[in-house]
Amino acid sequence: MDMVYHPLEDALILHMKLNVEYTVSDMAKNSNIEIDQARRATEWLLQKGDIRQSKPPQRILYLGPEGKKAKESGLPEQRLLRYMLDGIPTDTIRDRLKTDWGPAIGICRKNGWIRMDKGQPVITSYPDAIPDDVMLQLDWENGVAADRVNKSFSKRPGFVISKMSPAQYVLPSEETLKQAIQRQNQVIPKGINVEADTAVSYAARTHPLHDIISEIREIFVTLGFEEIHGRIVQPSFWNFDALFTPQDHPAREMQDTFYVENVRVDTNAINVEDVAKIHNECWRYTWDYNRATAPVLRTHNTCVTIQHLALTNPKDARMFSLGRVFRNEKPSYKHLVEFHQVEGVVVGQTVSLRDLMGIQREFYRRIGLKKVKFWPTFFPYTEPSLQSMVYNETLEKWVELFGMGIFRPEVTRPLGITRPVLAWGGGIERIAMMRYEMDDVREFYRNGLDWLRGVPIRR
Amino acid sequence: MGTSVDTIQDRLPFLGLDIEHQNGDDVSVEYSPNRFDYSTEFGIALGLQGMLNIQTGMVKMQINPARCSLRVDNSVSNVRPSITGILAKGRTLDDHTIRQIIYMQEDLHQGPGRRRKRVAIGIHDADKIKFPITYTTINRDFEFAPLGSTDAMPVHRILSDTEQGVQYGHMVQNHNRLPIILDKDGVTASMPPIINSSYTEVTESTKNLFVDVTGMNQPDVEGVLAIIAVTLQTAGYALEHVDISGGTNRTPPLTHRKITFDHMVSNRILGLDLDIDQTAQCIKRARLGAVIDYNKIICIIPPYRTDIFGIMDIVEEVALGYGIDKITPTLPDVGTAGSTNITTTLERVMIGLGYTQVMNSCLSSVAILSQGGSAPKISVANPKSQSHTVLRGALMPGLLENLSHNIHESYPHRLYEYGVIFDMEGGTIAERMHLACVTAHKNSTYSEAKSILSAILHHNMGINLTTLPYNMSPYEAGRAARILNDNQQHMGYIGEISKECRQAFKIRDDIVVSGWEVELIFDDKDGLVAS
Repeated sequence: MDMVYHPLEDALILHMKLNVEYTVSDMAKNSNIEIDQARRATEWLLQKGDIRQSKPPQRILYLGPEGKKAKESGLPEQRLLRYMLDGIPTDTIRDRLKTDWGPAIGICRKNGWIRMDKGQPVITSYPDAIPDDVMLQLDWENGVAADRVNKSFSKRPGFVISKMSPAQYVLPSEETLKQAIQRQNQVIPKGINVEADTAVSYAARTHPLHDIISEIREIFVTLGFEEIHGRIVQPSFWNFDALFTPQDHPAREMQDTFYVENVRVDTNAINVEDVAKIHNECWRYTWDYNRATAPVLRTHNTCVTIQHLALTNPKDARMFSLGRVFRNEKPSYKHLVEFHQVEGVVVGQTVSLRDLMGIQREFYRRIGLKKVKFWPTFFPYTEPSLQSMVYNETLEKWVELFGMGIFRPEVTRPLGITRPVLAWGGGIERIAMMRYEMDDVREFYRNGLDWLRGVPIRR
Repeated sequence: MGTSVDTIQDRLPFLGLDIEHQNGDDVSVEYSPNRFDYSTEFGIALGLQGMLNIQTGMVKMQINPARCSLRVDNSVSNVRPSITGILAKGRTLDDHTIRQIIYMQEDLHQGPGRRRKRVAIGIHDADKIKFPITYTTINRDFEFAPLGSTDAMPVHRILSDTEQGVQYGHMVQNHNRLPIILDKDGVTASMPPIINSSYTEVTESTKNLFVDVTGMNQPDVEGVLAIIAVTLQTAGYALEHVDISGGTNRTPPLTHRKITFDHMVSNRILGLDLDIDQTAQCIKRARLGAVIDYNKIICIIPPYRTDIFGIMDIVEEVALGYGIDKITPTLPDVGTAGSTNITTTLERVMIGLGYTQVMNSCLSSVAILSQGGSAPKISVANPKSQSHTVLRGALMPGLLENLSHNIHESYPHRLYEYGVIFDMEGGTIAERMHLACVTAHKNSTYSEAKSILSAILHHNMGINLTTLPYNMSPYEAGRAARILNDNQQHMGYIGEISKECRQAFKIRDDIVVSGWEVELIFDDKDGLVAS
């Protein structure tokens, strides 16, 4: 099989002489190509066996400023021993060695060459050769391979400077060169290595969570639902009071709900007296309009759907609302402060709980969740109330998804809504986590390009 | 009982109890905050008996006539007017049962009690109390030994030095005289809603209990008492009334209510086709009474079922009694045309220009917004997370933060976000849709940003832009502009990000950005909500 050569490969080969060592940067310079190109071509040629590495990358040491000083005037320990042999008084030696005094004493004592007697050094055994002096006498002119130098020497401050010497490559066979020259003279167009890896290209993408949201929107629209919109900052009236949530309910406290400071919000409240009456009667307290005006970051989108129903009172309708909701929590791998929910309602004289369950099952089927079951639960504004449990194939367990129910008469009657209303809602991130097999919900909002550019589209 | 653990575990969710975790025969469940009668295993057993057809119909309360009495002094009417109580006699409590009853008490304090404000419960060793007892008021110099202490101390010290005093004292801080329950000899049983006395403490050798429930109105305290009473009866106690009088108070009747129910209502709402007998059976399985009267069912509601307001609550009981798992879903016919007015125009243009979408939170931090040149204006009260304290007034700071997190990813970076921002207009909040895009690489310039901006707004959306010089941080001086549309309306900004700002976000490469209000380019504003 004929191997295919890239022009870059030939550019390298043609500028190499037999059995001469080259670094990658030598080759780039000789062939007049970019260093990255030379690096890639070198890799390909190595794989083909046309060139070989003659020397691996190596750490080379050179004498540093302190090393050069020692080479001129001797190592501190050497000088100490010499002065002592010469009988020079300790104080004079100390003066001459200056800052080298301490290290010199330390090294000599550690090697057992001297001992200290009342603060005075005394020679105990004079060494034949001082090990680091042997190192000092190496030929440092062109550097010394790091593995030839003792640690004790290279660790001395300022004694050596370390540099990496790049790998060297040689062209061992004349045949390679001949073939490259031949290829230059060929008339047929030169091929490229179609099997080689290429640089990565990134497609611009919509956010994966946005994709799921669009998919959910599409499902509800094709199931006959009309999308409605509402504001994020809502008066407590629509987020809580209209939904029969008493004003002293724990969910309304600041620990759970974000109250927006120092702003007003239009309450758009209707039938306030009827709402007040139902609260006073059923929850036995005095409902306070002022508390209903407090602006909150909506905790669900049911405030949007109920408001729309109350203002339009349709006889038959299918509507959904989709958007961000807020809970005052500490974020964790399974809880966010701000996340997305979809809420839907069906209004009609003959709609039933079975229909509500059927719509949920159909929605889950279309989003790719086939195993669904329903359990009873409680919400202040629906009766009966159910929660759907969906089988998570990745975790191999049932997880809770949308909550649902039929709006209580205590909700609908004061607002003038006369027909039964099926309602449901739940978090979208949970569904997205299953789709993308994620275990940390915060990942959606980290916007890491590694993830945004690389997450497989699943549908 | 001959019911297997598996059967019980299977049915628990269909009572509305979420299984938290299970370990062999040990199952932890979470009950919904409308069914405090499920706060002990005694209450759950009553529910399961119905579900499994072991015992159906209403749980009857057997209460012996009163032999002891409690008198209420009028002085409590200003501070905590309502009290009720009951005696429970004839068994001792093991540690496990004591703990369950304490948990129930705590749950009731948190839930219907609203942290004891609406309802507070005291449970006492009845044999320590000499009847008749009095519910009255005392001043802050009055002394008794609170629970957890052997020594008597004045009330003002109990309020300032004990854990319960510190936690609950605020409820009585505006009153000179505080509620107290004293026995015949003037010995203190309890200072509701704050603390019991140590004298009446319940131990494993206690045989007879006295339970007091105080609060702000009669239905609340009697409802909570009913839940405790049915639990203690199921635990094996013999209940005995206490004769209560004074103020607006009475001996708690603990009697049932009746609701007349039409089984066609539950059939219609649930989508079932049950006859009247079957419907009555379902109601009985939910532990309510049900008597058929011609074509109606008289439902009999025991006093502890305070969660039942009316007909729809009975419908839910029918569903529970029937078994939610036996109700098969049906997909109703679609009689409506679905629609959305969400526009994807901008999204398609941005992708076409090579910009990747990011999604950031609307709630951001002061640090990020300030660094990104958009001083925060709107904050939320008591946020738990310091990264989520203020509403964003621009998208750009979030995008700069995204760039900052991605410095190790290969360049160029081209990101856009389409989302809502918040602004103040005369004391009210305006929510507006914005689009912003950032370009970061070694040689990004104002010209590149303007070229992109023109591609979006001019070549695709048909707007004739004007860009006028703008010299404000975080833009580089002389290299930024305001964006105006055909009508000379201000749309947003475009420019190179200053070196100081880039340093604050730890980004080395050049950054250019443009951000503008989307509503100014569309006629129909309804569908401009990004998700």
